[in-house]
Amino acid sequence: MYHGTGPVLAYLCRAFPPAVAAGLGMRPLRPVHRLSGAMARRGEEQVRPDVCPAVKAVLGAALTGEGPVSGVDVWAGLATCDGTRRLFGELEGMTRAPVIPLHLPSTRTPEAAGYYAGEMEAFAGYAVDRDLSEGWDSARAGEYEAAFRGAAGSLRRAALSGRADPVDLAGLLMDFSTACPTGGDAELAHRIDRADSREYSPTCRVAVLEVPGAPGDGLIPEALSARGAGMVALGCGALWGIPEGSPPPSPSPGDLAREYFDAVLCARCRPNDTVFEHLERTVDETGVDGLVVTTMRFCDMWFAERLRIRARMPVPVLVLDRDLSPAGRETAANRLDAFLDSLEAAL
Amino acid sequence: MNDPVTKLTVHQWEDRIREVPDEYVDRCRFLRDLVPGGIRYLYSPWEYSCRGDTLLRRLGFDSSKEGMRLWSFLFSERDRLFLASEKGWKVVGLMKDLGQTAPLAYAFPGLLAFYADELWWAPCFSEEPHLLEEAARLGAGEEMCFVRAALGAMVTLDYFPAPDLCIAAVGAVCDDFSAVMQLIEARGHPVHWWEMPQLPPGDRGAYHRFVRGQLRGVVEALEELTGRRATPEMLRRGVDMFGRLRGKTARLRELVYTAKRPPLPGLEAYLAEFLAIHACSEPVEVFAVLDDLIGLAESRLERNLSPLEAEDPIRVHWVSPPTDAALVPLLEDLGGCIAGTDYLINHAFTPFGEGEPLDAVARSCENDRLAGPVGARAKRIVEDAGRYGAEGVIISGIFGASHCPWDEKVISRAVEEELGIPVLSFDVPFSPGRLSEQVTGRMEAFMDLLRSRRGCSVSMAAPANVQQTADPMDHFRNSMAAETTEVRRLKRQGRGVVGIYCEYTPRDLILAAGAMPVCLCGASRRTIPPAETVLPANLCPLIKSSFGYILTGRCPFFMVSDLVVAETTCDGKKKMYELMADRKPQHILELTQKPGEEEARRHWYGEVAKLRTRLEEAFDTEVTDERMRKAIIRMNAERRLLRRAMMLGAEERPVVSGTELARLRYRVSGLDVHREMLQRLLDLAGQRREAGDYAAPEAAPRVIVSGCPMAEGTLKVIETIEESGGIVVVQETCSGWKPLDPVSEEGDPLEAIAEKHFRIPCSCMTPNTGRLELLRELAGTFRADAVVDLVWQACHTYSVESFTVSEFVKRELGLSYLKVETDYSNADRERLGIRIQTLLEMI
Repeated sequence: MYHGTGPVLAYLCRAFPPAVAAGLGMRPLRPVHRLSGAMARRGEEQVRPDVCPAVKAVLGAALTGEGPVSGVDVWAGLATCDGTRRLFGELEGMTRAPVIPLHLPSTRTPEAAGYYAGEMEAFAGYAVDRDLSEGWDSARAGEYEAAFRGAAGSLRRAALSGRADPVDLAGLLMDFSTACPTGGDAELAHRIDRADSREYSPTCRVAVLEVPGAPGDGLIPEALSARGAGMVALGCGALWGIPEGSPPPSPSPGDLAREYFDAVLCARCRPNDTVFEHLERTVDETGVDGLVVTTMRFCDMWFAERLRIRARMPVPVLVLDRDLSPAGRETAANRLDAFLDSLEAAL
Repeated sequence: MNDPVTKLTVHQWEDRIREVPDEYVDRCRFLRDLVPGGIRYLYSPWEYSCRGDTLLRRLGFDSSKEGMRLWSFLFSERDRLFLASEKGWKVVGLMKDLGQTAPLAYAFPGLLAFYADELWWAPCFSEEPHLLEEAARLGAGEEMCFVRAALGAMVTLDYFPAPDLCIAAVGAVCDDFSAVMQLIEARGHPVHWWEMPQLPPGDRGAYHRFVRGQLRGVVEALEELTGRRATPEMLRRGVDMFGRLRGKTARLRELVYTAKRPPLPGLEAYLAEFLAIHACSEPVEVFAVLDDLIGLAESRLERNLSPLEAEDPIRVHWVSPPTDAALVPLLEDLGGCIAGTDYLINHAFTPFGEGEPLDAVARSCENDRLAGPVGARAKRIVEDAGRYGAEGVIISGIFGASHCPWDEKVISRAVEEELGIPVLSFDVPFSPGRLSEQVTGRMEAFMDLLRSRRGCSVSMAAPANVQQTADPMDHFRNSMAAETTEVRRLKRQGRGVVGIYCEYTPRDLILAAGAMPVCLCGASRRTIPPAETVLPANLCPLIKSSFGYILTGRCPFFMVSDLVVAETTCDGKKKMYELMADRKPQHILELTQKPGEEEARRHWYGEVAKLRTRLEEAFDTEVTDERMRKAIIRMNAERRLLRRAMMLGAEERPVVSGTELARLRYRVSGLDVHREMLQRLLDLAGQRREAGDYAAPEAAPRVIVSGCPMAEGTLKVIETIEESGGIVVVQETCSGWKPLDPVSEEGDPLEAIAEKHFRIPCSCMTPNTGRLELLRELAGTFRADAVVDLVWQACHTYSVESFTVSEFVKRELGLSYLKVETDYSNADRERLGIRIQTLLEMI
């Protein structure tokens, strides 16, 4: 794993470039996996139950200082939805951990990209003003970003090939996503190479699109693995949103923000046709037999699109609207089994 | 007009509206820039309830004409939109910026804007879920807030026409509506997106420049739509106009919410606040509405008058707009009053600043309470609640709204910690037709708590919650809402819908084709002014009203009709059908008009046969003899029940009035619920008979109303007869006895259907001796004393025929006779009353 020094900067959305943390001398952390129902219940002491489970769980974990957010020194308060906007609006007052707010535009115009770049510059300035950073190091940011993208590139190949064992692949994605490792991390690089080269002959292949914060309970990869099926991992739970190609050698925070802004693939984009075109293309190119979409309860942005996704995709689609409770897991498992049965029967 | 300061029911307002001076009614007009002189819109809430907003029937309304102007203005918005669209104006749906871009849209002439997301209240007022169900079919189900009704309305297009452009604000606004807007765009509606980011901490320079640029993009999109370039003067004009409106709204709020006894009910104040949003469909008129309300409030405050009964009502600050409008009156019934609000639109009460117009609007965006942290909103709520002297705070969450679950707890904590006053929070579920018992119970308990904090233990019980009625009289009076729901439901299940206008159209045949026959005849005076922008004013009101419904998109049945049968009865209707021909598939049913000639009968039979073929093609089915026989039996059963009900008028002392019987004129045939209610009505009549509960005094003059058809909303002649001491025992009209002959259940069913309908003695027939024969029969059966011959203005056939009828009634039957030629308005009601009283006194 990445063992940088400095304070830990946590963020939730892929649109936040982790290299900005590195450039500011901090360690990036994306604690969206391994959230639990217990954390969500803790969060419900502060908000009503009908809030996105992931947001509640982050809040609950932050309040207790346990789990994936333990040791977070500062938050990048990237507002992407009503839930995260309110979470980051209140989190500092509740936990005393500094939160630096910034807004990710939904619109996809050059002006919106420019605004986001400005927000990221302001974010960096704010971190310095609050003595959370000694200043911006563009070389360090560039170096980090190049290595990060390199690692993401290798993992992307494994994620799209469908040849990695689903359980292994899910573990890799989780570790990569959480710890934001650089390509120089030997252990992770080795695991990625191994996953990429393993000869795994799946009976069928299923694309899995998970939204951030979806339960990292292994339900889908375990079910696929048990049947000898392959998994093509999509979405921000996997590697969507990470730019491809080489980054600028000495980027500013704004430069990085623009590249990440351009790479965003989220249902909240307005308009969001390109997101579904990308999904359609990927499903087509990878030749999967079915698609499983995991949304989080109360996430209007993705859930409202479920009918359009079903209508557009050339393969059968299962939408699992999940929360973090163990009770919901069984229902989801039954539906997933039925879906996989029908896929196998059709082959 | 007297000024009793109180709340009136919808029926009380139906009477009171006649006391509103004509010159005041005449001042209330919209779309003056589009239609010379504008269109009148001041009508009683009953008029609007008949169009589907049935909740109005259970609300109380301020007794002032100014208050009624407010209601009428808001509820006539869809008329403005459809009419503007018909006349070639561009219609723009603004979405989710809550009043920020309205001044920019207003800058463009020939353009009418409205806020599509404000349709969230529509399911509450209509008390039926069809908009929400349509939205759910497209992916926006009950996990999302009621703003999803706008998506449903984009499908049904019964609240607004398809917008030429939607201007959609995203960012720090509302996730629910962002998702809805995306689904709207996916359906092919053109959308211009613009971003309103969350407010940054500290310096807002970049935010301001960005929002200003976004607003420039909005202006450019409007320029492209209209083909006109917006000058700074045009934009300034719009911003100034809306700035002044905001100032007036703020003034009204202060008058109402700071008063110890509010000069206006909370519901009227609620609506007035939302004028800040709805103003965009007619800002000029909103000035007059607001000026009226401010004048009224000042006058009442000077005289210490309030429509609220409580002398010292408990002051409650209300947070988030209550999605069930009945909640605010409930608060007042429980002894409370509204002391300030945060309906999420408080930014719309701060006037725009000076300077460059886009700068002014961009600064206004910074005041949107949803754009900043919820803690900041909570702080402002605490300040407001303190300033208005609130004793408690109610937070009415919007069921499914993504911001409410967060906001509720943060605001509650802030209020309790800072002000030390109780907070009640609950989500308002969609419970059409009634408040949920849970919500009502919690409100009662909360008000008791606040009262006990004053040291007073007296509890005020909430009024009984009005349930869906099982009373047949209520059912038929309010049948349109039930019919609308049922037709939409059956339509979704695949049933066809056939619109008809005349009793000559055989409903039996339509039922045999598996479709539903629905009557599209208009009975509202409110749709006449829009119709007169196309049709001549000197035309029958029934035709104008019917056409006005089509023109303003207000007829829920026309919207869902698969086919319209256009019967060639009178000239006005024939020409109206031509104007409607491009809106729905139409089948012309030619009515031959010589009832005594065999050739005419044969031609008519051919026409009915052609209708059968058209129905078979339209619904891809076969109308077999067997299916026709079944439909005949079904319709005959319905006709028999109606006849039995009508025969109640023949009793020595009728227990059912003519007004009540007139309400049996429902629109959709073949519905089980109507048959069930007809049976209940007969049972109810028995109960009344046993109880000696008669509909009129003993020896009340017995009157037959003959001539043109009537329906709920146009019953003034019957009502006036009965208010004058008479009783209408039967109607010799198409809304009464005329169409109730059974179809023969023997022989060729198509022949039988054709024969029955050809026998209807309408004045379009020549010679129309059948009408005289029927009058003779009815006069005997119902022991009539007089005949009142109703002729709608410009109905030439009935008008000319009245001479023959008059001679026959007076000479052959020896009865008193009065011809009444009138229209749908109430203007001549007094004169009518005097004439009818004179007639009855002479009997």
